Amino acid sequence: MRKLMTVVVSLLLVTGATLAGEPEAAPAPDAIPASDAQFFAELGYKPVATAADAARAMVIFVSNGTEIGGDVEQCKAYLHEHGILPDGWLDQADPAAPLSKGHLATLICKALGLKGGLWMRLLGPQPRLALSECAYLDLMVGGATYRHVLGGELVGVIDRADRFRAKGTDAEVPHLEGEPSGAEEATP
Amino acid sequence: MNRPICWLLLSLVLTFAATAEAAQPAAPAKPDAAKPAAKPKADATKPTLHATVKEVSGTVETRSAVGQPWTPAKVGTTLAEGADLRTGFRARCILDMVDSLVKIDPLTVVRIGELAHKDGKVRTRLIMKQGRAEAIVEKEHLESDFAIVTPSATLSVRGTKGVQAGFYPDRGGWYGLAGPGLVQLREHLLNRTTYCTTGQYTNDSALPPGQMLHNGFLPPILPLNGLDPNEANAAGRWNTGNPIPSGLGGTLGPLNAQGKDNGQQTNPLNNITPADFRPGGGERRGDITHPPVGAE
Repeated sequence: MRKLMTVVVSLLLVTGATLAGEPEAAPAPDAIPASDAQFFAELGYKPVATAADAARAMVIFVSNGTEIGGDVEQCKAYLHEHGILPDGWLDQADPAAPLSKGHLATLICKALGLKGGLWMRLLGPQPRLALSECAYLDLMVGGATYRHVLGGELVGVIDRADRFRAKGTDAEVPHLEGEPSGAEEATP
Repeated sequence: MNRPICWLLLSLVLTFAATAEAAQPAAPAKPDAAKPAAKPKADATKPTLHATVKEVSGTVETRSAVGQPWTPAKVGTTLAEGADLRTGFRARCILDMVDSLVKIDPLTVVRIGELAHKDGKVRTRLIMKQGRAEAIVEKEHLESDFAIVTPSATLSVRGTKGVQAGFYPDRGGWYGLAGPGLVQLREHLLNRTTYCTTGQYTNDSALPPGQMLHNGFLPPILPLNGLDPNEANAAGRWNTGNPIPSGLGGTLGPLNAQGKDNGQQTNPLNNITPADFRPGGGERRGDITHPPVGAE
């Protein structure tokens, strides 16, 4: 009996030590990317975009690229100044919270000033209505409002939204013209 | 020594070992700069070529290889095989890649996968992680083998000057022509291939351009006569013993609503009869000059 008790106690000790021994320190947060090119390139590798990513991407988008954003609080303050917040989510969300399609659509509608249809005019850019409007304008892929947004998806949405905004203006991306100059050098 | 003391000692040893293992901090991720730089491929049979940055607008950064630091791109910067390039918001870059002129659009990440002479041709592979690119390919004065590779498909230039390609993970890729000519698209999953000519485009499933137009602009065709025999069987519930579910009715053709004759009724719209499957009967299958079965 005593032997059995010893074995049980030892097993309990081992289990407890294993569970309690998990490293407590959270991984250090990544350094804030220094340039917008770095931010969007690294965002493309993320499986899920977070509230912090959304805030920074929206700051870059709203400022036409003149601001590259910083930490989350600075981004939120900038968005407050420009009337993008409060949207009911981003201003209160944890920076590491995953971004959903509905909330991204709300932010895009506010940033572009989209009025939408009858119900969106009456109720404002609710996530479901905003996502429908963005899908109609080919800015986002429709679907459930609660689905998380991939990092690369956020990059694509920002690209399409900027093309939509720049259409017909000087900021529109021009077509390529010219000829490659290295033809003579390359001829064997 | 007493047995219980041995057990206790053993348990203490195990406890310490488990604690030490569990409390081991995770190895910190090595920064990119700590990795040894990937050596560019050196092949004597492939004279290396260089791409030159012709135009820069906005934040454009390059690095010569994986592990090297990113530096801002300037006009005149040369890039060899293995170099990466990324653009920021509203940033653009035009690369002169010997056989082609490539415009890298905003929010794009690309790598020069190949840029060298091979088999008497200038072989260029532009690997695009995300974003958009447009290219003018010179095929009149030199042999060129140019392709844009995205995560889902490869766009190769067959006989054209202007091509464009884009890829984002939510929408997939889109590929087309920016001018007259011909491009070939091969998707990576099933190796399906399609071609696009002037004004046509396709996606990364390599759908034929006509199907792309159909999907984009035409409503689905639902009448029973537009379906093939298997689809008609499924739609009309022919050759099934199960009664039709309540509420699933229809006016298109005679439905097998009651599951009569154990569902062995034949579809009147299907001309293929069991005779066609007898020895010799199959010879006239596909012969459009033969009168239909009902007319015999």
